Amino acid sequence: MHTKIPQLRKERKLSQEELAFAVGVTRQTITSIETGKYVASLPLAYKIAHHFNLTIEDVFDFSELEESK
Amino acid sequence: MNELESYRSELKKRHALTLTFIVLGLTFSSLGNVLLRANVPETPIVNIITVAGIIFELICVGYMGIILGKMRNDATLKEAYIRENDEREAAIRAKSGRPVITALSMVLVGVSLIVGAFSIPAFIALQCAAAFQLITAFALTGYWSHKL
Repeated sequence: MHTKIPQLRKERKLSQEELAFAVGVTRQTITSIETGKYVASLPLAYKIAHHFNLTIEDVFDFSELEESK
Repeated sequence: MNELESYRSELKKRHALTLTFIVLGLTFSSLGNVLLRANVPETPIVNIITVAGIIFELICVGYMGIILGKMRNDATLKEAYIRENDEREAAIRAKSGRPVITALSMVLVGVSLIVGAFSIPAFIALQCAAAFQLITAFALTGYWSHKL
């Protein structure tokens, strides 16, 4: 799943480590989510979106799921 | 009580349990190797159990050091809490079956020590099975860490 986390981090000058610490996961988890290797759980997706003051749909790209309907 | 405080008390419980293992190990070791030395038969399994006991004691001491390190200050406590409760790590653990395999291996090691008193080949076979299980779990952890 594609995410906008790298762009959002860049805009807010936030490192992976800082974001990971803020949402309570390891840096490796953020890396895996950014590279699309790992799909975040709903609570984690909410925490990340909430951290950026956005909605889950604003951060995570669900277009692949829409296409496969 | 917040999450970090409950994690701190969980660590304190683990610390107490490890300390109990160390004290029990030292007690049995002193009983077997010093006080009851004359009554203990000179068989290979006794030497193996003695060495295994020493290794177990050293692991417990190391683990206790790790626990104390985690509780050093709030930053190390939060870092340890995050690492232990990270959802990706939990997914890797679950997919590789590490908790179950580790528990099964420990059971095999325990059984092998009892069986070893009667049959050395059975002891070796059980030890090998336990080692193979642990190696498999380790390899699966590596695989899933790469995949996720």
